[in-house]
Amino acid sequence: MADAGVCLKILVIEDDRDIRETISTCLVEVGGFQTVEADGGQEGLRLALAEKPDVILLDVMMPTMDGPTTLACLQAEPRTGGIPVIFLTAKALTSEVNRLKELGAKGVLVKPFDPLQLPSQIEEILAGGGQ
Amino acid sequence: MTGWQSSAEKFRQRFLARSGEVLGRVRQLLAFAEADGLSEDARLELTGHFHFFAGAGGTYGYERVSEIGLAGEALCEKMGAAAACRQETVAASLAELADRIESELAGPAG
Repeated sequence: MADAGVCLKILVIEDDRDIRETISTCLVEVGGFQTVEADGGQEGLRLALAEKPDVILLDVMMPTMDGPTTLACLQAEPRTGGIPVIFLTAKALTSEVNRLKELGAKGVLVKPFDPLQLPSQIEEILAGGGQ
Repeated sequence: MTGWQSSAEKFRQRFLARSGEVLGRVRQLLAFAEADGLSEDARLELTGHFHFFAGAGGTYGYERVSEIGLAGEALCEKMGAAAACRQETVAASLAELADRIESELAGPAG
């Protein structure tokens, strides 16, 4: 869980309201993180600029602007290009995970996720381990 | 009950309620498929419903629902490649998967 005095701010970009709220709530209540929520890529880009999160959790399959397109926009903007992005995908195929990492993601987490494990999985990825 | 346990139960109940609605729509689409075949838009909608079960089931304690959802998603993709006359067969298999999802959701969460 988050170290005492170090409260990561995580931007959760996920179009499914139930999944988004589940992620956000477990990150706050289990991990002790701070969260900001966006229901799509456009809103995510706006909040990434306004909130300056420490890390972004980004769903891959979203209508209008999908995860890879959102990541490309984040990378193209100097103020958000350095924020680590972790993809959330329901496709666990190694080829898909590798494809997403090649786009520049810090890591990839697979759905369904275990809410009790999610905070530590994020910390592990940020520390340089994990997927 | 801790803060998270209480939240998790609330989310699980919400998932179960939504799953009932989604299964209703899945069965409606499968009835269309068996009668007249599905349009591409309807097939994509059906794929999205099984994708929902695949991505969410395990998060709320229904690991088997995720596995069945994944199998359903793959079958929906197969349905896209099948000739109209074969859609009926694939639809019957998908209906069985929908029944299994319903049965899993009637049991306890893991």
